[in-house]
Amino acid sequence: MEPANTLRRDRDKGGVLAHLERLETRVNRSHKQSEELQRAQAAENALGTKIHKLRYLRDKLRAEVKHRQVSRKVKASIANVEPDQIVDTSGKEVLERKLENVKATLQAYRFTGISAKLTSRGVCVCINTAFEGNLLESYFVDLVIQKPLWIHQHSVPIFIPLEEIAAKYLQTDIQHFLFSLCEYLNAYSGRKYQADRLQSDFAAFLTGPLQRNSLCNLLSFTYKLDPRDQSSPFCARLLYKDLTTTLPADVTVTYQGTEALSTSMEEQRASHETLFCTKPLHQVFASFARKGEELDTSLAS
Amino acid sequence: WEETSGVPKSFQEIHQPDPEGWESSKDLRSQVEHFNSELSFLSTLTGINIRNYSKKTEDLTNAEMTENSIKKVLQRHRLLGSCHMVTFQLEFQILEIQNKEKLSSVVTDFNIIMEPTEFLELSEFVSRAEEKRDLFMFFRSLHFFVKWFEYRKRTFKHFKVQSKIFEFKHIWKMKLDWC
Repeated sequence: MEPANTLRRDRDKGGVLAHLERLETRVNRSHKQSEELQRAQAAENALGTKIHKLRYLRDKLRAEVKHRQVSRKVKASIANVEPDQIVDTSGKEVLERKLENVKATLQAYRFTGISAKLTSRGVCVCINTAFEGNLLESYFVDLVIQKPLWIHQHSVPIFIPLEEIAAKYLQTDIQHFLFSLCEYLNAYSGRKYQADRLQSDFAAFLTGPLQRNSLCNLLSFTYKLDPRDQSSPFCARLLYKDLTTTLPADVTVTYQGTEALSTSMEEQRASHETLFCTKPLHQVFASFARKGEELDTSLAS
Repeated sequence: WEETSGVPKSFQEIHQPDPEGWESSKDLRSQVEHFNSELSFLSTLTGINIRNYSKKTEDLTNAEMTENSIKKVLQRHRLLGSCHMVTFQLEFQILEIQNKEKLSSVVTDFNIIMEPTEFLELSEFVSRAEEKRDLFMFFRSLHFFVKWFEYRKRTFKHFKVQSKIFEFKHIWKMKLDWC
């Protein structure tokens, strides 16, 4: 409490009533403080009890887990001791057959385009690609099943918009994420396959190197229907705007020469543009090859 | 997962196979269980339930091929499965040719056996997939078809529409365009 002389000074300041008022506020303040202290104390006690309760629950659960692990070990050891050689040989065979069966069925899933293996942290999905009956590369995506789902590793090429697709669908609809990724990967595989086939099987028609980007959605090449032909080659530019397609939407075929194009050549040029839009690249050249053979045989006869 | 209910040190512990469990002891039963759960997971993920699968392999390599380090194998696969209310049986052949540089696998024959249905669209894409020998296209289209069918059923129920014939061609055009 304050010393006596301060009280006398205060008393002189505003008279007795004012002094009483001041005393009152002081008392109220100290009451408030002690109330707050009490509340804090009560809260602390409550938390303390909660901590005790949680600790108790934790210890109980730990004991439960241990108990179950032990009982499982016991059960397992009993199972091993069980004389299945004597009584249950057929049971073991049945199980072995079941195992073979289920393993084979799992293998069969790759023919659906998507197969997977459960991992310790989630699942590793394998996406298989194909183009017109040709089975092509496989890619994998290793998913960790947590909230949120995340991709631990993958073998998807960098130019496929994996992050975009994941941002759109991974958290809300895994199936949609995988199907969409499948679309992109299958289309890429298909375009790559066509370009590779053109380079390997129909190099004779090309008058220069095939120019391609890593996504295989922009191709540029020069070609002649008849390598012996003295005229200038055609130049084709194929743009696959939609990355989920294997046929180009934008095709331009131009004539490289300086001389004017004859009507038949112009017809050819226009028909080639349509061909490249509607048929896979290597099949277009296969048809060129067939036409060439027909022409040769008709000339020879 | 009943075994590991409790307070794990990390979320990963929930998916960690018990070290005392199937990894070391190779208990047949738990292996079967593990693969069965993998199977049911795949079935949910792909929407396709494979009931039965068998495969036969025939080695077509002759002496000349062996000299040139070429191996030719023909695989005959038979798969029985379902996707919701649609059951199918697939028989297909894959020809595998392995030479020094690469391995090529080509579907050389593809037969889809399904019960005749009232859905013209279903038969359409089935014959297209058969023609193109495109396995993946078959499964993809089947998945979308079933989804569409379920959606249609719900919509009809909602609007209390009773109709056996319903043209949904424009949605089909969209889906089939990328086939």
